[in-house]
Amino acid sequence: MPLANEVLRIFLRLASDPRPLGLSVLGVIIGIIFGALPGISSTMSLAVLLPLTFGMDLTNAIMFLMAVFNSSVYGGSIAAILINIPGTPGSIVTQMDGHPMAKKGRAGEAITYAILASAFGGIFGWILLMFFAPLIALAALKFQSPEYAAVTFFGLTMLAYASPGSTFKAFVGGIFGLLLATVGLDAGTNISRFEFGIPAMQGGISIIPLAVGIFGLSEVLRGLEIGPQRFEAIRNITRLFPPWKELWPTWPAAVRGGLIGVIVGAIPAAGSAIGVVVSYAQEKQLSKHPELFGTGIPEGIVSPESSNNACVGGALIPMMTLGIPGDSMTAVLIGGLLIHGLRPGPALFKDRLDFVAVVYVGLLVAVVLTTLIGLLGARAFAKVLDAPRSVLLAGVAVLCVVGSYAVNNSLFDVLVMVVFGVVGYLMPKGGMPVAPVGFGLILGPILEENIRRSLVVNGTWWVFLQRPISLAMILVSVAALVYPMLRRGGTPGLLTGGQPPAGEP
Amino acid sequence: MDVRGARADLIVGVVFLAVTIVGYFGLYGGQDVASLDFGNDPGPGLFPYLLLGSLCLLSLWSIGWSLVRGPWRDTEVLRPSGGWQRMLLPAAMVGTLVAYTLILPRVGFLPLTFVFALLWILILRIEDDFRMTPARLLLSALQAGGLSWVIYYVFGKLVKVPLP
Repeated sequence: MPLANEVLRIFLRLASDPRPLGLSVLGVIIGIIFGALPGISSTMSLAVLLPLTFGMDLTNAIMFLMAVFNSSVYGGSIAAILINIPGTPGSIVTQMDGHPMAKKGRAGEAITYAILASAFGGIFGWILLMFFAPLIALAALKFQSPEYAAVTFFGLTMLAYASPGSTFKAFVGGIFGLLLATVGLDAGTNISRFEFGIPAMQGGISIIPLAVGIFGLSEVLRGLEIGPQRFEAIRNITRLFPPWKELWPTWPAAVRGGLIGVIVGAIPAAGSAIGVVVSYAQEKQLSKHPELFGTGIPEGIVSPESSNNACVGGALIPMMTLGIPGDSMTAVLIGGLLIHGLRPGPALFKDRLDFVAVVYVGLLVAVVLTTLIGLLGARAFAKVLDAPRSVLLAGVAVLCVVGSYAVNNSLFDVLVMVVFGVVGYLMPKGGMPVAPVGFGLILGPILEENIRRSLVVNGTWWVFLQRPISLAMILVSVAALVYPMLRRGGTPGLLTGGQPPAGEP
Repeated sequence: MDVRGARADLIVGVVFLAVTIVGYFGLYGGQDVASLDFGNDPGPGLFPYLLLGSLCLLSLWSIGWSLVRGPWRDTEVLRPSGGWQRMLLPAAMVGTLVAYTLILPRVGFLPLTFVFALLWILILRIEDDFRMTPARLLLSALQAGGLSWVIYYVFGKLVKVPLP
């Protein structure tokens, strides 16, 4: 009931104060534009725009971030449909049917299918977030330090397991991230670690410069390496609304896509790219005419787009209830919340219901606004694809500098951002996903604090195996790490893994 | 240029082994913590040493397995279409960003950002086979100026970040 009151209070504020709603509208417009631009992922959009919220109060900041988060996920489908290049990793499947439909002269209808499916998926994810998050948080509130440590370890191994590419290398990246989290003064003893004679290192490595570097600057560097891309955009957007008799039968595909999206989104690090591929494959398998997939049929757009946006709500579940990022975007979001003095976790459902409520309202408003603005501005957003690459890359590079400087007004943070931009650029060259480094940096302080507290209170490492939840988490984590090796017949092909999908952090 | 297969595992193993060694010797720097007593707390070194130990083992495994497989046989090197020269632009961007950061306090945000943006707009336009005329040069300068001013206004005036 107190949560319902908080939600009502936020809605009343929306009615009386135009700023939160105005920021949501702004966030949706910027998010769709950034999402539509090939080479600018949703995570990058969130990372470079996050510093804009530093001067805002919590409600305004969350409303803006939720708007960017949700709308940039949809924006990727515009590029996928019109130029056959996914604007974001989550729209990688939308192009398979979206672009052929656009080539048949139905670009407007393809965009509308994508918008409506995104809206459905967004609402679906939002409902499940509202339903499951309080339940999980209620259970997690009973956790003590050993359970927290085990759940965090479980989260980290799932991040490695579900990351694109090699589980082994993702795990190495995660440990590297955990190590980065220990840089600076130890909170318990005030002893500095990994200072290397540089006083600025005592403050530790902030998540924002790291995130802007590995998710933002690294993409600029990749964009420079790839060079100018030649593509032919379909510009003829005439009829927007598809016939009702063709639209209505797609609802089962939207439901299935939404369900898969929420489940995959809730798995730490699985990300929307996995969700859309699974939902598309599932839809094709269930279809009576699988041979039509890839020729421009509505189900081929509706299912992955519903899944893509349902992932947003799904990814927020582990973030809000356990403090574990559901994907790279929620990892960046956690960094932003830390700047605003909030550490996501179950305690928020007890102590900071105002935050929980504003996330619920912010996401709902973002979904509604993305649908409205996406439909009204479909033709205008298509023109974004004509943006000059030179101005875009130079602008994003400057935004990366200013965004990382804005955290502490420190040029050292800018240099940290540049270093991690290079790290984020080089790691995929060796088949290593970069997102686990960010996840490790976020989870590091929680894991260390709870391991140390468990040892102080219980005096033995056995405590992690003596408590049922902790034991179960550790067993599942070990299984998640060992399974890929067993699946490959005991050969350490575990080491090599696949290449992360293009643009996947 | 991307590397896959055993040679990638070897590179990853060597790089993270180097990180482990640097981390091991750099954990406390010159601080004397050996004589300190943290009571029941295992101390600030426990977690980093656990991580360094894990990273060391994983690095050695990666190196060992790549050597067993033969790093020069089971390797795929994916070169970009323009050859290694395509990596010059990213390197130049990193170099100019470092220079930009170091010069920023002396020159100030607006003029330096204008120069940085103009430089990169021109470089990328030339790469795009954009024929440079005085009018187009002026357009690039206007775009660089507009970009610098908008970012300055949004962050410096609206968000109130004290830009140098």
